[in-house]
Amino acid sequence: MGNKKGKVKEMKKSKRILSLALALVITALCAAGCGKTNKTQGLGKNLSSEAKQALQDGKTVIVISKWPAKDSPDYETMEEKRANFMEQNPDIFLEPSQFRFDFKTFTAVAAAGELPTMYDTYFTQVKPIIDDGFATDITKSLKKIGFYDEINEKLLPYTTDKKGNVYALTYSAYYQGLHINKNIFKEAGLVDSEGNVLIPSSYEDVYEFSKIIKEKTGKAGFAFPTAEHVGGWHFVNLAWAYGVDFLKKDGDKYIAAFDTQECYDAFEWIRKMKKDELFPTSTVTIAQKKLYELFGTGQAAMMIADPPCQALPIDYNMDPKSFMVASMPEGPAGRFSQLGGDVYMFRSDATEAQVDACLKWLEFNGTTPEITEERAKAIEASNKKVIANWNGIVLPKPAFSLWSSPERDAKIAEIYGKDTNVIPSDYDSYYKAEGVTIRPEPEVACQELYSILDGVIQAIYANTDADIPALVKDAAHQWQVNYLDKLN
Amino acid sequence: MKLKGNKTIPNNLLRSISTNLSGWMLLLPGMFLFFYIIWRPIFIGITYSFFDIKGFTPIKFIGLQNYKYVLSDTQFLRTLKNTVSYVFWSMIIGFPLPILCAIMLNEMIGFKQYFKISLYLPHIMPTIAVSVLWINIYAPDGAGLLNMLMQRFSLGPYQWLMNEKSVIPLLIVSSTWKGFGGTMLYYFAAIQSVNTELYEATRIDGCGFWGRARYVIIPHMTPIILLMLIRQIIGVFQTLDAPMVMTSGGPNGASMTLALTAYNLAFRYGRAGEALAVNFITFLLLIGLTFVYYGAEKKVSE
Repeated sequence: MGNKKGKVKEMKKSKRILSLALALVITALCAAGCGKTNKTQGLGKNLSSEAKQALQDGKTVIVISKWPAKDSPDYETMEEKRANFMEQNPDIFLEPSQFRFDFKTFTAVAAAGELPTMYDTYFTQVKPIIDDGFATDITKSLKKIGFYDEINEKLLPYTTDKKGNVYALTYSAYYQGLHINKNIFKEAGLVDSEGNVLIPSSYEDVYEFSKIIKEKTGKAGFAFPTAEHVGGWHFVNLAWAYGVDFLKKDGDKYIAAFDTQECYDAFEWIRKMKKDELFPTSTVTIAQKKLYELFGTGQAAMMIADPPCQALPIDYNMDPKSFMVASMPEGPAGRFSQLGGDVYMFRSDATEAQVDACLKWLEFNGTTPEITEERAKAIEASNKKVIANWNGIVLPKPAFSLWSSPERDAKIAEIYGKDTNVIPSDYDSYYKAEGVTIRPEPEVACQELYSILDGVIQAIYANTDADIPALVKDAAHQWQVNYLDKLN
Repeated sequence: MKLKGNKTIPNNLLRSISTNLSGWMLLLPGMFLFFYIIWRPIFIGITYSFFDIKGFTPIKFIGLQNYKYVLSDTQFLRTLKNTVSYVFWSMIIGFPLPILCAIMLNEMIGFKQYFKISLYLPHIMPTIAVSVLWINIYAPDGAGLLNMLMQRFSLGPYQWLMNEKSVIPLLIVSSTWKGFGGTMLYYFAAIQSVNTELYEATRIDGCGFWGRARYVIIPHMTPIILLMLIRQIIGVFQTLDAPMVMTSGGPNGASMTLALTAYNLAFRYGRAGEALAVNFITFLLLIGLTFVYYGAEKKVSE
């Protein structure tokens, strides 16, 4: 009996020891998975072994975003450029990253310290990113490399903080224009005596033309977005044309200023377009992608977008010569178009050496005020690739100049003109932009404003007899109380 | 706190741990993960909701300021009402359907397996695919499937998702279509555990289908029904995917939920502190509902 008790005790003891050992092993394995990654200043992500070696060798290592994936037609070209750049700059190591800005994940990635040294984003995100402390001042580096004085001064307000320090470098800028499906217009008989498509000059013309298009072809005249802030963003251009100012300042206080007759009139235009069924009826939740789909598949004859709208030929096989882009329609207060753009920003902990290295790479890759012969050839080759590899659009010239040099603009236009696959005269009205005032978006809480305006547009879509003044009053109140008062 | 005799809670706990030491040690890694992945983020989220946040980093303690902003938002009460409306409609549409289907499936003699699989299939479809499918069913013109059916009876076309009154019930219909199959299997499993002698007894007593359902099946299923009830309320209260994909919270905020509001605050507007405040308010409301459930469950057990 005594022996049995002793054996049971021993068994219990060994069971406990075994359980303890198992528990420790499993806990260690779990903890191993939670270990911190090795981050280095200005770099973030887990570096490749080559990058680590470069760091040890004392090189300046930079991580660059928007690198093409291995199966992309551009990958080989970019790898070749990377190799050439590092050969010409032996003290720099460039680590590629496929990071692309996405507002849904950006803050989480930035808070985790995983941003590349140089990352892409949009104009609208520059100030929030500066406020959140995820970017560094690059003014000194821009002056060093000679870019600062060459930047188009119209772009500077979008890329600076309140003190005028530059935090971003624009690599692409554009303003919106009226896209017109020439085939639908011709089918509806909206052509002049020489067979050229008639361009609607005003929003009233857009309405009248849409009526004719619907009558003659059964298709929607105009696609207007309604969701994901895109509706509000587009409506701002329409509202400006009717004389609406969304934001006013009373001393230091921001005041929502769009509860006005002019705003009611702008929404009345939306109402009458909807009531007469001149918008597409197949869907009501229209965000950016849906907007392009409606135009690209010929369900709508017109839309507002910024050229080049690459989705049209690439995703919907639209012939680039089958549509044209005109300047924004006119309203009672004139023509207005919002300026948009894409920028590069730099991690808040990036060193000056890293920022300098990134700017050198940009200069090497073509974002530079100078057009050398080599650079000209590279632009030509790139334009040819856009058509050959992607079936994309090459415009007669970039929509908006990044630099303040008319000679450069002329040179660029000459290079683009060689490979453009659109009819240049189809873009005359857009490029001339006669009478068009290019405006920046409202200074603060603009995404919130767009969301609120989306709601008003949806309310009108849902009920074409909706009380527009009441909706606008409520929208202005929402913007004021929920967002502007928190800033005041 | 002392129990009967010389027992105290700490003593009982120590005795339990000592008796089952192996078990507790094997539980440790799981508990560690549970704490680190589930409880720790909750505690951090609640703490951060009292801070001014830049990016995702707390900068300054501001007390209840985030809660004041959230509760004073002109759309908060409407969003709360919408969320409760989702729960209400899910009780009407989504709750009885799996129970009925499970009972009917149990009564079937032939093709049981076929129907079981068919009814379960929507459950395994990705949520986004289901949402896109139903967007096309609800399309407002004549090409939408629902409007096509309506037009056969000389009705419509209707706006469906663009109608502020019908948008929430319609979203619940699409969510129910996806989710009811999984819940039905739980009920079906519960019905399978009914003693067959009880069925014999009901047959002898002359009960038909409704009698069996009323006196045998549903009383037997009551515990699982109550459990699923509270799970459904908690789940639907946190609805995010359907309004996000199908309506973006529209038209004009008519389908906006607390969860979608928190998402927009955190990721669209960069107001993580207010997003956490919304989530904590949701958490408190659900805790309240859970206590109500436990009270009801206790009464039912008694």
